[in-house]
Amino acid sequence: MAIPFHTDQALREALLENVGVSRLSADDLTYLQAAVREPDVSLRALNAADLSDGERAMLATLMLLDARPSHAAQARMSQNIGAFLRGLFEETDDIRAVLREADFGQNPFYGGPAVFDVTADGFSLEQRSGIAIRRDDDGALDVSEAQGWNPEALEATLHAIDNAMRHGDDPLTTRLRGITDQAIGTILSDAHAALSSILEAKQARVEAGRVILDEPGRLDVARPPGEMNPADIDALGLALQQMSDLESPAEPHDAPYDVRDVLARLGDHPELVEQNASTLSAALAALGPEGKLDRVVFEQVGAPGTVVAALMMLRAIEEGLDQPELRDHFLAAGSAPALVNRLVEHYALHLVEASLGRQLDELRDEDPYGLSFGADDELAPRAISAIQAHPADGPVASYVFETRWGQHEVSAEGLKRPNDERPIPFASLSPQSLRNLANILAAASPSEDGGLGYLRARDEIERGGTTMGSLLDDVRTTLTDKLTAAVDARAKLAEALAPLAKIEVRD
Amino acid sequence: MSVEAFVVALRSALAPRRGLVRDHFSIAFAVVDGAGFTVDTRKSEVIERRYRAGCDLSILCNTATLEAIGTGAFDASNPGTLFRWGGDAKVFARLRELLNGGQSMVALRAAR
Repeated sequence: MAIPFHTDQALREALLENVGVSRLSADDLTYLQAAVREPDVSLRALNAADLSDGERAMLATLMLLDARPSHAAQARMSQNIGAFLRGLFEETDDIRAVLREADFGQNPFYGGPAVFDVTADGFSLEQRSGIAIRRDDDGALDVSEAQGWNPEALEATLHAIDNAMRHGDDPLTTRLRGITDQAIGTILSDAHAALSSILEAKQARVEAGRVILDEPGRLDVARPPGEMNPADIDALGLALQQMSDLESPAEPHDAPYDVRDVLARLGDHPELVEQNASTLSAALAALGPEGKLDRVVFEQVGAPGTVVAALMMLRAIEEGLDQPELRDHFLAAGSAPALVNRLVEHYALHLVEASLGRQLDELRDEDPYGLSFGADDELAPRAISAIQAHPADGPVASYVFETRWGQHEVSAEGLKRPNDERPIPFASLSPQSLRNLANILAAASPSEDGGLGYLRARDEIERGGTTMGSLLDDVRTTLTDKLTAAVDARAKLAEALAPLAKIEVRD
Repeated sequence: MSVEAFVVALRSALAPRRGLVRDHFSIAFAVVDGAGFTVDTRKSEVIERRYRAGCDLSILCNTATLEAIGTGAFDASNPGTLFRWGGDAKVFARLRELLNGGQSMVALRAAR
């Protein structure tokens, strides 16, 4: 991450310029400066336990600055999210659009309506627009215009009439109404009743529309594409989350989702498996090196019902489906679950093979018992400070030698290292260790070490019922047996994999 | 645009308006090739960087789709698009309402 924030001022200016953050505490600055200068700042750093939420937010923002978009681009980003959501629904989730605007009408009032100019034949509601309710030539109240009003306008009008009628109850108005025309009260009551009727009818339609909209399938309302069972998404989302958590192998994890459940859910969405497995499996790359993947999965061999294994299957699916002929082959074999099952089988075999391959590599390359002496000095007898038969008198039961790690003792039972309570059987030693051990013992020959005569050693060993030759034979036998067993196992697995040999699993 | 960029943009847009929300909602994003996250307007930290099950709305997508949304190039028919959702569709509308009418994220401070 290359952000040239080398001074407080530069950092302040960058924050202000890019994210509008103008106030930072001294502690914030100290931390953030250290963070942005650290080349290994990553998302993992964001999740460090010693960071507050605020610090995480700030660091995330700073990370964005690495490829910081322009202000205009950021503005578009925000607006585009809103546009995306509008586009998803095309406004059809709005009940007014679904049931037509005319069903609900308009609000004709510029301000709130008020009742004035009341006569026996009608009253005005707004002077500016000239809205009024009056009786027609036949004496009937004309509320046809109100049919086009929306519920909010009708409610406001009814409220205004209510107010006028309440005012009509005061003594002065009552007296005037009694003197002038009783019909003034009547027109208001009639208008209230008529408008209430219109409002009730509109509210009934609104409610009916709500009921329809609340019942999926009752109305052909455009819904965002790609709807699926949220439980399925939860299963996949938690699986991905677990995979992310497993990036820290030392941390314990739960595996509440059975692989069969996840696979079954995927089986319900064959198109998801077929079309999007590549994107799903792309997440697997986040697990890191192949060794870690295998290690993680290998730990799960005894509990195959883990979500990690399921995700491994997804990768296998992707690898299979990327090859059209294999896709056809598997799809011809049955439904999507059948495809998944075949790939599960295949991938499990692959994992075992990979594990054996690693064991072979370890046999060849690693020395878990610390008997290597480096590339230059490997097997060099001079690395051994001393080698002596034990006991010094009488039949030899073992040989004791010193290395830089301390005193070792080799006997017919095996090798006992400085901190071992019991000898390690030769069968458990790595080939490299066995080779080293053989060379160490060979150092007891007269040509390499005059301190112990080879002939004496041989005699002692023979007398003790153990020969150096047998020790060396043990070395060779153990090594050969291990290698042979591993190679045989691999050959058998390769044979088992033959029906699926067309699949090339990437290493 | 990375998932992080999308999250920061969304958080910056939502956090200052959280107080305006009457009907709170939660949305969980499962990003198959990135980190999942959850939007929850009930929480003071509107966005949690973990996928959470049981939200009002669940979305399964990939980074390319988030980028397309952020850049205004979303096209459901694009082969690279992965956008699946489940749950309460009305939450889309609530999110839209919350995002509408506000100032752009440029003017918003990073949520702290």
